Amino acid sequence: MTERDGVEIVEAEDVVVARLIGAVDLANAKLLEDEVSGAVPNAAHTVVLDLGETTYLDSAGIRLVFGLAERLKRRGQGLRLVVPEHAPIERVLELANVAEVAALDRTLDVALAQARSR
Amino acid sequence: MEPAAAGVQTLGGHEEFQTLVDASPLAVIAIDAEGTVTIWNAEAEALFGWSAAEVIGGPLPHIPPHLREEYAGIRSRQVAGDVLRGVETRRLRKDGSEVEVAIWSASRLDEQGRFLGTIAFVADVTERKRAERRERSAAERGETLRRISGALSSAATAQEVMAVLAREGATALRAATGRVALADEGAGVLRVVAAEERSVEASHALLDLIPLTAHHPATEALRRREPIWIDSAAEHRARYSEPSDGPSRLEASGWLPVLAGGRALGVAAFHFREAGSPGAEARSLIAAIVGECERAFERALLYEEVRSAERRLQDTNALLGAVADGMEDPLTVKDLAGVYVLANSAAARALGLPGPEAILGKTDDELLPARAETVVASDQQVLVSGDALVLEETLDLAGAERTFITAKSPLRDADGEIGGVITVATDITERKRAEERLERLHAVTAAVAQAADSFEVGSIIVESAQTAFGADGGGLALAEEGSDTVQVIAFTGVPDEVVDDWRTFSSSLDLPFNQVIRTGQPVVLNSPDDVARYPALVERYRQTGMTVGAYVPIEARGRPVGALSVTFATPRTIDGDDLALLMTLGREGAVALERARLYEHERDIAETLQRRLLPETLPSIGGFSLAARYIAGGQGLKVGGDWYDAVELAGGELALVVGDVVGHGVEAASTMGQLRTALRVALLEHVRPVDALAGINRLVHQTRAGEVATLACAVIDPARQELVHVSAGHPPPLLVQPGKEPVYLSGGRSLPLGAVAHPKFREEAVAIEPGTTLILYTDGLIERRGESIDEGLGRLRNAAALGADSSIEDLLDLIVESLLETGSSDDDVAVLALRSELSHAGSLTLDLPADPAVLASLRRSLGGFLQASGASEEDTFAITVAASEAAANAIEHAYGPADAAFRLEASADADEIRVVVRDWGTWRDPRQPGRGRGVALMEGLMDRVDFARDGAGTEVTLIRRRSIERTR
Repeated sequence: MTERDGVEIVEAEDVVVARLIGAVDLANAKLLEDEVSGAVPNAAHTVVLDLGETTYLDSAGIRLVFGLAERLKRRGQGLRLVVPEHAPIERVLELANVAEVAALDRTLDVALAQARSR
Repeated sequence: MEPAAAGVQTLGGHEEFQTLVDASPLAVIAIDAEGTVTIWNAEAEALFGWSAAEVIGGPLPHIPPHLREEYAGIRSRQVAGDVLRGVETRRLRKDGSEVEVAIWSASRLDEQGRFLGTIAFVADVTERKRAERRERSAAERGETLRRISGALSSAATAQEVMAVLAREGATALRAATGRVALADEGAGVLRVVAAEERSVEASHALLDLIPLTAHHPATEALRRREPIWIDSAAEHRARYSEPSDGPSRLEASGWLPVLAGGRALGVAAFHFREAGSPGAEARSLIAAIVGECERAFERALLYEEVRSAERRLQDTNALLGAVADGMEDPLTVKDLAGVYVLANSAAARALGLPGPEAILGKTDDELLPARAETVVASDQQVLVSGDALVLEETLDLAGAERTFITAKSPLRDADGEIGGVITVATDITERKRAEERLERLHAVTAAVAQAADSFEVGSIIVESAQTAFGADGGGLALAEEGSDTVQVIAFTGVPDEVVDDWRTFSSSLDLPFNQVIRTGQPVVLNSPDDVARYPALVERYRQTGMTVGAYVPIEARGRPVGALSVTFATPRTIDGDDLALLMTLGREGAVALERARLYEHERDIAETLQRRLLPETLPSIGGFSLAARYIAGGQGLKVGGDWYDAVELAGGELALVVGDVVGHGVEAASTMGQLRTALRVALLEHVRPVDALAGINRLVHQTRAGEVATLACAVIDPARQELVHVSAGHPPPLLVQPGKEPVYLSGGRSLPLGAVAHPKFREEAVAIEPGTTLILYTDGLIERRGESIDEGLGRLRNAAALGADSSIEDLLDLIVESLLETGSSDDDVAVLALRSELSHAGSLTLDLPADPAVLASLRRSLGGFLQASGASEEDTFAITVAASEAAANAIEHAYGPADAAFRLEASADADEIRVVVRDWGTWRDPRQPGRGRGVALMEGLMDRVDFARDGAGTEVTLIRRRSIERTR
């Protein structure tokens, strides 16, 4: 019943895993973006944004993804998104053509494997 | 970290607690388990003089050395987890002075019962204690004089009267000894005839005889006919050559002459174990006591003289007559036939006859035709029984009513045969009047003690003055502090049409009220000339038909602050006695007003505290409206422990609480504050009301043993359109569904908070139909004296049914109006109502502020509506995203943050779902980079998106067809 919006930094070494939990909207997107990019050390080569526990995401969230991709690109770092099958937010990501700026994986394991096999 | 904040943390508190500490009108002090000060708020700094910086981190600085032991006791109670309630003691100020305080404290224990710390609220009660002492002494004075009157009325002999004087005088003065010595001119000494020794050591210190020629305070008092007060044994030695009273350990003493019949008869002496003679108040009391005793003494002497005369002069009426003629009181002797054989001049005067000759040879039938039958009957009783008879009678003599104590004794001849009746009548009219006044004063003291505020005190005093004097008008005016306005807080005898004009007047006006307030001296207007001295008054007297009046000061803290008046329409002379009585009433009034002022001050504190603890605004949550009413009941310090609260929880749920802490006043209000905060925190943490209540029950049970709180708590989940509620010993919430009879939610019934250590709280879940209203309230709303609770519940249900279609604000007004009789509620009342804005017709309207923070609640409300409308999960998500996008745009276009708002309307029919978002701002160009994504999303998720812009703002219409197959 309880829903706490926020970001959880799961790993922060060569690959940074950031898990977005709950809703991402106008009220918190900017904060979340800053929090994620602030957790990325120079040594990291890829950021995995895990959307498996994201219950809501709209254009503010899309802006977050594009903004983050842009920042990382400038630093030579890559971005992957974890979007489980049948996730309600998938349709939103699809409409926004997120695939242009980030690779999409179904699970975190796949995303980590892809990132490290680079 | 701020020092105070550190303390709060050790108490497991939070920001609100900090606010409470900062805002507290009382000193707040906290110590940790080691006794180190952790909180010392601004009020504590002001009260005790130490700054927080000096005190925090160290031991308590303000325990007076002589109270160390008492403090150790207090501390061990705190360590044991006891709650202190208004413990009264003294504390040090930094400047070394002491202040009287009352302490409320609660301790915090950990789960093993180990002491973590104590927080205390400390109030300065110096002023209140002082007022209480003053009031007590006024009451004691009245009580003492009454008791003495009683004792004296049964004291028949001079000896008995003196015993009363010694005993009661010593009691009233709290003296170690009280003695009365009478002058024996023949022996040349003052001889002690009555002694009251209130301790053994004192009895050895007293001399029985003092030579009349001795250089001694007793003889000086006798000679000068005025009291002598001596502060110490040393002073006695310095002033008088004759030693005090032997090898005594007594210090101060007082010597009061006892006068009777115009002669100084003797001295009443009182000794004290301590140095320092009694204050003005005690001195005036003892003077009153001596006065009472003198009058009784005179009466007793008279009886004794008569009796001894009777004994000595049984055979010779002539000698009796000689003695009797010198007496002030009427004396007569009648023979067996009822014929007057002897009468003195006083008897003739009383009957309005020229001399005793006019009485002799006559009978009562001739002299007192109206009362002859009664008089003869009592004479007969004396003659037949042979016993003396004393009766009180009121006679109409020479046109005036006088009251007499009449003593009738049989007159016996040398052989002991009864030959007639001897009658002595003592005129006690004056004494009677004094007694009545005393009686009345006592009633006034009792009445003002019950008065709740200054206005009530004023009315009682003014009414008492009017009754006591049979006056036609009167008033009590108080100068307003720091202004040149005088306010009349009570008056009588003023015509309705000018009442409002007279309620206040300028202190510069030439009125007796102002003169009294300025000078502290009474003003008496006994003639039109007197009145004419106050030009501003002439018109007022003319309007009210008054001719004479008296004005006396009302004093507070040693200076005149107001005035009391009585005025008369018929001319009369206001004499010294009248003025003395009016001044006494003024003093009664002053004491009570001062008490009322402090009382009002304390009540203000409690009310302020309570207001701070109630939410200023209710949270706004999409799809629901909230309204609350709080009605403070009763008067005085009866500020209650009722509260209501509404909190938005992290998951978007809304928690509603209405509760009631047992008790009234500052203590209940602060308990309520702690409980409210604790429950807020618990709800934020647990969400489910049963879990939250279980969490704080332990707190209540541990720290407030024997005390309980009742409350109703409901958590609303807008996404599920469901509410879950618990009634902990509290009357059941009322649910009003459109088109149905209101029902009380009988589930979720649980024990009150704090009743037992591990209660089982039960909750009940109820679906919220569109348009439903939920009403939580405290018992003050439904309880009426002498009525069963069911009647109150029935009344509430009827009122709610009647107002079901009104707005929620109107509904609450209706409920409060119809359930609370004006002014009848002693208890506080809190009512909180929630209404679902979903309409029956399958539509939802949300009016929301333009703030990104409302988006989450918008989505939940819309989600609830869509679910209720049978939308598929996919439709629900798509519509929610699109609507949220439109709302986000509306928020971003808002002009300013202050009052900007937007509206969302959602409706559903069998085929499609439509959402319209309307704002009153200016849209940015949608082609702006990044901006177009929102529009693209709306268009991608909806079947149709229309933008309609006009001068006032923008309306976005979103339509999506229901698509069953898409969910598969």
